[in-house]
Amino acid sequence: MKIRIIGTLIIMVLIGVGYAADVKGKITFDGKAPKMKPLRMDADPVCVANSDIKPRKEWLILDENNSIKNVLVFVKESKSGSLADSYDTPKESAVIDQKGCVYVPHVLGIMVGQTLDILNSDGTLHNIHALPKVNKEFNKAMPRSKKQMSVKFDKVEAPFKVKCDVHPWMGAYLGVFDHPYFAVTDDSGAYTISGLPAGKYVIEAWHEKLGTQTADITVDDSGASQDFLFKKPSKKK
Amino acid sequence: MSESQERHYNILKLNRVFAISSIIFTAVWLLVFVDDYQRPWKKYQKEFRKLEIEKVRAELSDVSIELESNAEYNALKEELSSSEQKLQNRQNELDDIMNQLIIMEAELYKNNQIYQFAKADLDVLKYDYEKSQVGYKKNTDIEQKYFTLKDSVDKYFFIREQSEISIDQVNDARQKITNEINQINSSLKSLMREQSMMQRKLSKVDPEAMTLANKIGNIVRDLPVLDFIDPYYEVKQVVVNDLEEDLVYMGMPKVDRCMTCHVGIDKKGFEDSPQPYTTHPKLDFMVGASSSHPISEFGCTSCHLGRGRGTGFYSSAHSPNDEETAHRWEEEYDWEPKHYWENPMLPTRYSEAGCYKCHSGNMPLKEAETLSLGLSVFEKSGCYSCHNVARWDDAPKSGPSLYKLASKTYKDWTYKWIMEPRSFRHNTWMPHFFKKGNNSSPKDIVRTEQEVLAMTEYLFTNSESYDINSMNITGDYDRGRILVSSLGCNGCHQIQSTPDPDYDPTIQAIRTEQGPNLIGLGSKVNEDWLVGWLKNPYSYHEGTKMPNLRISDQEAIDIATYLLADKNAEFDDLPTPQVNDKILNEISADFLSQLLRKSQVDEKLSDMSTIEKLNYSGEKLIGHYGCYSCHNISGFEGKKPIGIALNVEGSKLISKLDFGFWHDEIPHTKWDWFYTKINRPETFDLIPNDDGSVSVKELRPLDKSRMPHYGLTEKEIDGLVTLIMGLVKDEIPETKLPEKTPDYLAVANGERFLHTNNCLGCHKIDGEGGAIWPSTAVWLEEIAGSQNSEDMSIVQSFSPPLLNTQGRKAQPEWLLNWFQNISMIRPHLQVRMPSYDFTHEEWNSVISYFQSKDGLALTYENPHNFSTTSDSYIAGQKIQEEGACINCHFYGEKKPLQDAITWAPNLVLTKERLRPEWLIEWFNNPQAVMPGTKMPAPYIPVDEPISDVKEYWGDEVASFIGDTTGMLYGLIDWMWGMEGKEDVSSIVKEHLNNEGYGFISDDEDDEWGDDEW
Repeated sequence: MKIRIIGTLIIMVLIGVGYAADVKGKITFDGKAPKMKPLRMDADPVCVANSDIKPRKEWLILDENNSIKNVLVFVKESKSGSLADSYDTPKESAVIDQKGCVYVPHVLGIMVGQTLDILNSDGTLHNIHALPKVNKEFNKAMPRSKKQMSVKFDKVEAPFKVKCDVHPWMGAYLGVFDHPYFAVTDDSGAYTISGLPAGKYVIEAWHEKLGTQTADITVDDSGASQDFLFKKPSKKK
Repeated sequence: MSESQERHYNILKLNRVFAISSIIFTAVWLLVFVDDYQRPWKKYQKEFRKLEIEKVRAELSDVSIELESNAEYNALKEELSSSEQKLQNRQNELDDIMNQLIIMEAELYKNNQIYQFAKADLDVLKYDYEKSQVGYKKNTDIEQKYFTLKDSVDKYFFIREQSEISIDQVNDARQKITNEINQINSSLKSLMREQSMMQRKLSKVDPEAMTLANKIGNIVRDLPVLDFIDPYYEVKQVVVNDLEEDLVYMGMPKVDRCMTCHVGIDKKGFEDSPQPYTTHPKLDFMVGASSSHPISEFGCTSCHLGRGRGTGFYSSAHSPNDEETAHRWEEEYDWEPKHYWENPMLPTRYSEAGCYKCHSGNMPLKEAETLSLGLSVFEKSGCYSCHNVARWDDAPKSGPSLYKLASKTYKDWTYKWIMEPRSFRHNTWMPHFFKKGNNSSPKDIVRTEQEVLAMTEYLFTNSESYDINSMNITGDYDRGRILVSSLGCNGCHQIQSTPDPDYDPTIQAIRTEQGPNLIGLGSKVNEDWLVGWLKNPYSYHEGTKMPNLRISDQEAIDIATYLLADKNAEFDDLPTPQVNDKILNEISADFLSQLLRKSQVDEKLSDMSTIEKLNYSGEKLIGHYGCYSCHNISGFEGKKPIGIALNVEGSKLISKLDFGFWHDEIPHTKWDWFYTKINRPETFDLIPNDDGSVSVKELRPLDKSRMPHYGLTEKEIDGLVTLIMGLVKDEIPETKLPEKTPDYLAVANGERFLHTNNCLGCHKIDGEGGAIWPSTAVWLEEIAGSQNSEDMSIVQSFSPPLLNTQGRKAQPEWLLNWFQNISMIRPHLQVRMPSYDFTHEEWNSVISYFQSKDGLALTYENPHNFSTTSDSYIAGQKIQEEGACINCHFYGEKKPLQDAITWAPNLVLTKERLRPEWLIEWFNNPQAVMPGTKMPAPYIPVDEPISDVKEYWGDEVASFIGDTTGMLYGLIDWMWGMEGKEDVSSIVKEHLNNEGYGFISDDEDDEWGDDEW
């Protein structure tokens, strides 16, 4: 019995299947926080009526500790080859809601072939206009009676914008991956990529305004931790 | 010893001589065979065979691996083996069945025999029996016998039938099993078709995959002497019967043997192999059997030139792309230029020249980027103005009209401009006639100054008057700047003060150079003229390409204020010389002496005033330099251009090109001569020195080369040389030319018209054009911030519309009217469709271009009929309401609900403007028709439960459930029923003035709370 367990362990080590572990981290902003202006939604009374609190712009959301929400962190490449060639498409759908004339969530990761349910919780017409460069562009109207529609993306793509042409303030970002190792930071700027097999990886943190950063990480049995610190991008000419 | 016969020669010696000479003869004979056997191309074919074997092997293994991992294949294989197993198991059964069958068949035969005999007996008995029945004597014996036999016959009949049935059953059982196996076998075979094809292919080329007999055959077929029968390695060729080669006054069918060495040219998969094995880089377009130019019909040298019958590197007249390649070839292949072949192969940089002889009616030419650039540069530079090329026979002069020059600019400016145009505008298309290599000595410059003074004087003296009204409004610089970046000026004009170091000439880049780079205008033109010109260019010059943008007085003043603020101080400070009578006399005398004797010249000169001399020599010089070829100048109407015609320049014999003193410096090819002539036109007036410097030939001023210097890049010159090399006198048979269908002609003419008038400077069609987009982004950045200017969907929305599917989209009658009387369609746009003064015919050619391109005949179309009480109309109304079209679209004077950034055309215009068939296409998938459009596909409840549709959408919509097109036609019915204001421009203007666009901007300074962002 013992021999069998040891044997199994040896085999597992040999074929490189270590324990899967979590990668965690926190993403913070270095600098003075800009103030998000409230959105001017007067153009559509339904939007105004649906918003409990007056929504603000979402291009940089920080908490009191300057932790950044809505950063998409993902495994960019595997250096020791412990990513599989392909992963099963999750059965459960990813969801994006149009609620109070903003997108919830604002940043979202999804897998190739996974169903994205687009909800319309507002009693108004939205059009959901995805602007991918690799996948197929689509632009679908969702009248107030249409509460849900579904789409899929069949190619890997870096985050791209999704917008509503009727309500030009509405914008969300969507990244498409061929593996399940991605996460979006929460209100406290924390993220967890779970179940990553031991090995060496490059992970990338992407923010719509602050750009991208990458880091080399080594995941062992106890996982790994990687924080990112973003600064205000230098002004473009 | 005495000789038996007297001879004057020694037999022994003679025998020796014979022996030696016959040995030599045999050796030579053998050498001839050896030499003949060792042809240079054979090594290429052998090498290629290796490559091909490698490739087929790799493909075969790929296919096999793929097959192994194919689930269907494995399942079938398993099924086959299980069926075979089953068959095996049932073999005994089958054997039994077979044995049984044999017995049964024998039994059947026996029973049948018995039955037949019994039946015959019965028939006899039957007669006896019947006779006994009707006869007087009843024979019961016969009756009994008869019935017994009848029973027995019936029994045997039944037995026979039974035997037959059991035989059939057994046969069926066997058939079923074999059918099953056959079916599996055939599915396997179809799955393995590719594999077996590869195997067959491999067995043809790869000795290892051959049978023994073939292996021997493979060796024998290429043995010396025997190889005349059917060798593997052989000279390969195509013969194109209807293309003739002129071999010393004799027409011979074209024979190309290029593929003898370029073995992979028509085979896919050798794209990355080294030369000469490489696949043709555009196999789907050229050479490939299914391409529009298959090698069997066009050969190779019909496009590439060269000596097609050659089978060696030198004998086929290859031409290197550059000097480095030439040196490499000299070392590797003993290459040298083949002087005795009139048309050596075009170097690859000029190979598109071959396209022009058949496709001279097109612009741009598909897949011929260099040639198309050449055509564009040729047209833009106005080469055709001096050098006649039939294609441009009807083209207008390439430079601006100088008829009313005095009303536009100043004498000083004109003098400095003619002297050195690029010192005023770094990227002007106006070439340099002066300060070139052959007229730059101090003495030359002194004369040039007087020449330019004289020409300037002539132009101003002969300038027509032009009334301009001065306006008493003040302009606003900033408003002007925004107008220039938003009205659409940048579709044709750049404002680029210094040269772009990364400038890459392309057709797209030249689109923004349709009109001049608008820099330094404050040094050049006066305000009144500019305002008048902006308001109506045609009133100054009716042939101008600058259209009317319907600019208001205020707008014109604003734009003029902005443009005139830019002055070129450095240029303004350049000196202008005084008139020098002595030199002026020399110049005048040069022309006078062409007709008069010296004494008469002197007499004439003494009679002329300075002004007269200036005007006289100015006129002569304008004629001499050919200024009138590009510009309208009074007194030169109808004059022939000064350059030689280039219609068949590519066919010119190289001996007709004078290399002057440059024989050793410039490679002796036509293209190198043309390149030099364009790059530095005065080269052949110069003499190269050993130290690399040049001297100028002794020439009288009027004998110097006049061709001006355009300052073109290497890429542009390559384009021009490609075009010139394509201007040939070859006679092309109709069969080789594109078929001139009406649609083809309409498209070709339309594309040229669109190019000449720079429609693609603003519009994108099928992904081409839209040169103005970057300027739209600059404008958006200014008025809405970088978040909007970086969002390509917003840039697209504020740029001139895409013209994809325009033919299917617009109603032709409406389009014609609209072209002639432009009105607002897209209310959010600042950029304006200009008003062109094209003729009816010209507009019609544009419309038929759009229609032919979309495969639509110009025919009468029935109007769209509908009724406002129909289910369809009511359904459409509901779909419109739920789809909230009013969010973005104007409904007559009813403004859209959302901000102006989202605005879209007034739907009242639709019924006159668009075709219903196109609207269906559009509604189904707007992004497929116009990629990037902000229009969403209207939501149609087509696959929802009918009860839900009834509840939310009503009975009328529900009546169309499952019928998308029906619902969309409902929407069209509703739109066709719309009434209301068509022209909403005043509403739009008022709204934009009061409320603006409602841009959402993220990066406003105050959001960051500091100023750095």
